[in-house]
Amino acid sequence: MKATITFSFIFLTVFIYSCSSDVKQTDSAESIEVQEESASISEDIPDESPSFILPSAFHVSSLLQRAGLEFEGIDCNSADNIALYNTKNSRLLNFGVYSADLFFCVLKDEKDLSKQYIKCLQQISEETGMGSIFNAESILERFEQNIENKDSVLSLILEVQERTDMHVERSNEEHTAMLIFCGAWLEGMHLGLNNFQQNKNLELGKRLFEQACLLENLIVGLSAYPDPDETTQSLLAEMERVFASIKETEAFQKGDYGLIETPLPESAMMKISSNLNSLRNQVTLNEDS
Amino acid sequence: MKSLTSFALIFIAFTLLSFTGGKKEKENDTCKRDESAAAVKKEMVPFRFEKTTTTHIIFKHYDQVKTIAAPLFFDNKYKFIVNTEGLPKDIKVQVYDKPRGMRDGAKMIAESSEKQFSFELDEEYLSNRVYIDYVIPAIEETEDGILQKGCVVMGSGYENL
Repeated sequence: MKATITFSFIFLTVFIYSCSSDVKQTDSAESIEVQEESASISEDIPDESPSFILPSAFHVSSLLQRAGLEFEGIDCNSADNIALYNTKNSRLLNFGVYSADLFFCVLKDEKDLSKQYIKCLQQISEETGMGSIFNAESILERFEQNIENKDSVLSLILEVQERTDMHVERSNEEHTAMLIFCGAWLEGMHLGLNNFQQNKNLELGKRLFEQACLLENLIVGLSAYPDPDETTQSLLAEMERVFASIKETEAFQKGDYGLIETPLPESAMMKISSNLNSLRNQVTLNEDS
Repeated sequence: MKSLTSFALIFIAFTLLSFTGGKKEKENDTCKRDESAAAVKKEMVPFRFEKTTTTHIIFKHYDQVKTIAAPLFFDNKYKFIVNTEGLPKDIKVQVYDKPRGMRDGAKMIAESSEKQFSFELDEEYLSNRVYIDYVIPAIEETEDGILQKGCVVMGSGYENL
């Protein structure tokens, strides 16, 4: 009997030990699986609605520039404001804002401002765990060396954009890309609408309305944001308010699947402009709503 | 003493049961994101490469459709390249001008089961979205129960003139 009990205890001890090391393996296997599943969870749920892909911030900037946006550096976000961003989400949003400012500066050959903004991007990328975007081949150094050559600078900033996209995809952080794009979109709209107010450029007005319709998709994306903090919740609420004013317009209500060739009435543009500017200031000055 | 032995045996049996129940599913993930993205980027010339979008797919024992909607802007020419080399099984890709559920009178723009195929949209395409369906066939249930998964990489670009 004594031998049986001793055998039972030895077996139990060995078994518990072996199971505890299995637990560790299972834990790590589980964490990998959860990470992988987070990327594919949407594929697992029967869902009729399509996954909307966002355009690149550079494409949006170049479209607005082609429509006649006259760039005023003074309307951009000040590089000094970077000190105001102390949460990850406010940093990501302003990574987008500074990206748009950089794209417009490069397209308009504003070298000094371009240098300031690429430094802001590098700083925020380090603060948000995306430092590899700039570290790998010293993009900042190459940017400064080639500042006189617009084509080279354009290639470099497209490389930054591609590296950012790659970083986001590899780390399964699509919501990060959404927040960055929200910031870039907001800044593009802010610069465009300010310009429209001054010049009443009809072509620019049409393109801004076209961009404004993306807001619907941004709201869907932000609504699915995991663990929303005060910044993202307030951003979402404000975006919904702005979108409500866009939905009121006759041009939006016509909304078929055609390309937008209907200019918005000036009063509607002013209302959207006023709402978006207050949202943009909230983001760039890190103000409470 | 007898009760202690019984307790030990019951405990062992219980522990065995609880640990064997927690086994993880095996999987075969054939996603080759970087290789697919490189192939897509190479074929984008002479369009300006914009971005790649990766869609992770798990094959099921029933048919599935996953739709990707891409925005288009006025007066631009676009090129899309879909690469399915990172999938363990072939799928069909269909391109429409309208979303699923609203396909009365919709136009199918392209269809392919090739590992990589591309399509272009010019100014004559009068819609502000294009809808790309990944039609994923069911797979047969196998005894080993290995999860079959992979990814589709879609590249988009626009004419930069």
